[in-house]
Amino acid sequence: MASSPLWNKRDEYIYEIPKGTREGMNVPGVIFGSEEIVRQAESDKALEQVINVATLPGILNYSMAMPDIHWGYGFPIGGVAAFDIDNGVITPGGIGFDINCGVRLLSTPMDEEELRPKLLSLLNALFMEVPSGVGSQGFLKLRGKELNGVLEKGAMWAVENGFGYDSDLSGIESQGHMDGADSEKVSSKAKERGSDQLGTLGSGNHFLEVQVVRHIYDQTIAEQWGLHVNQVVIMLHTGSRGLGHQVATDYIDVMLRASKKYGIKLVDKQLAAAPFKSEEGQNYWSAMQCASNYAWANRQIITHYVRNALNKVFGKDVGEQTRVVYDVAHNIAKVEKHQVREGLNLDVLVHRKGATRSFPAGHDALAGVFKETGQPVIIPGSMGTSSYLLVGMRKSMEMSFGSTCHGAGRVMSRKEAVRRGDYNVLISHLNEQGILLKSTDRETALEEAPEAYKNVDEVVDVVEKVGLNKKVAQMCPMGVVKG
Amino acid sequence: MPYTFLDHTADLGVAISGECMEELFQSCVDALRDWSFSEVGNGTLVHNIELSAESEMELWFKFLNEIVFFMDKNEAPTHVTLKEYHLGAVCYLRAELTVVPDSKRKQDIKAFTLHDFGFQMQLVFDV
Repeated sequence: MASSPLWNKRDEYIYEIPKGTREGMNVPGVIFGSEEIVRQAESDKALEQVINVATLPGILNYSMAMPDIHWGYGFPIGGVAAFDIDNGVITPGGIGFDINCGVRLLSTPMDEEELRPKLLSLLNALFMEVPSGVGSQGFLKLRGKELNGVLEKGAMWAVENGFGYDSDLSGIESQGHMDGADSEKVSSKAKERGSDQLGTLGSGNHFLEVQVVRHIYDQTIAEQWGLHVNQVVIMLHTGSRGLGHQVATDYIDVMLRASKKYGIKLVDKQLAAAPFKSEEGQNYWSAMQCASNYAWANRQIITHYVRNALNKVFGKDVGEQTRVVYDVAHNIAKVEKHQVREGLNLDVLVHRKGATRSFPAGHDALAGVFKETGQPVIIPGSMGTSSYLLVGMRKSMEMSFGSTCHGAGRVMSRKEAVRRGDYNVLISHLNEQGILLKSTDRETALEEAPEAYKNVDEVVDVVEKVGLNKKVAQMCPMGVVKG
Repeated sequence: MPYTFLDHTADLGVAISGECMEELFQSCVDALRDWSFSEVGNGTLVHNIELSAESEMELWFKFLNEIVFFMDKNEAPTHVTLKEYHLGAVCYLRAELTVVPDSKRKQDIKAFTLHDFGFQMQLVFDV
């Protein structure tokens, strides 16, 4: 039964926008969510963006959105779309400005009881070791060949230069680097912005969070990933900093001209695109991979700084015994093999914009323990709420091009969050839950208050009920470092 | 006030107004500076900006992202003087942007995003 002119309920937690809803749609839209989530998305232009994406050339099967959907740039945040690599396009609007913004989870050898007495010392040490905040500059200043090395090798560059261990790389999506990165496709302006920001957290919704594993849903998988109840873990969220933003800015300009050149009819200029196989498309593809590699190197270097902070507060072994559980990208495009329809497996270009890869057990792209269990999917909540560790399930390959949600998703503008919030109330609310906050700026903290986000429990319930993921663990915050 | 900050779920929206083109540009500079900087230092630097584009929208896109680039280096924009502004098959802009280096930022603006606009504009920035 149609509940609105735009969408129909197709199944429990699956809503469809039929292909004919707007002229030019090449495929239907699909939103994974509850009715409340879909109605919320309708109120802030996000559903319109799902429709817009459906008009892009070469899109396959569906223009999709995950339950953390909200209004974004071009694609909605939480948007996923796969394109035919021969006849389809690549668009910066489907990847975002903060290319390979992502989340990494580290497991420490400590339990909550051991760590809590020194929690404040740890937060202070993290604050000192990891540069954060607006315009933060890192301890590294890289130019020329060194910066090009980061752009082309990603996390591997960081490990080769003493920031972490070889074993860290196996816990990173794509082992922390993409092969097609050519640093010559990145402008000097982007390199200038990136030259002193490596190993920095940044500001906005980026954070470092000390968490405790509160609940395990799948004991077997949790053990295989080295996790147990009461264990302290550290989650970090950041991306490719100014470099990634400049790459996006540079190539949006290129894509606007390419759209005209190749006759791509745009219903929204934010979706400016080029055929994937065109010169413009391939140049952006290569530059985007450079920015993705920069982001992985950034998170790898921050991991090294986190280990330093742990060593300073608890002694040397603690940092060294802290492992990378997994690292996922949220804003990225990748060429992956998918079954487009019965009997037809193709290499396709999957755009994930505020969405996470979610490969199941046995997938060829996974190795080691993850091939056995499926890929970890890290879902951060908002400050003061739970985060989740999920595992990719087979249905994500059948329904969403191996993709799932990436977080809670905003429901309130930053301006409104600041207008409605009170810093002292926020701090006392967090303290009542035993959570400490260390922030460079009161306004930024208010912008990221829990009230500004959807209920992450509901978002995670949707992807589990649909069958894209299964819950493995729930983590609760103990301390938060905000840029 | 020649600008107003607008609600946007994830980003920053700004509506700007002006009596003429130079005032519109100045309104943008004022909005960006006031949103981003808590302290504007001493001393000034002038950047000569020369841009061309295929449309007015692309020209603004490039100009605003130039300002964002300087702000990322903690340079607070204070004044813009429009030297030339032509619209046509090729749109062209030449301007002097005065900035104050070593200023202190309170908020990050990472990019200007494409948005439809007229003489009274609504701009959206990625923050």
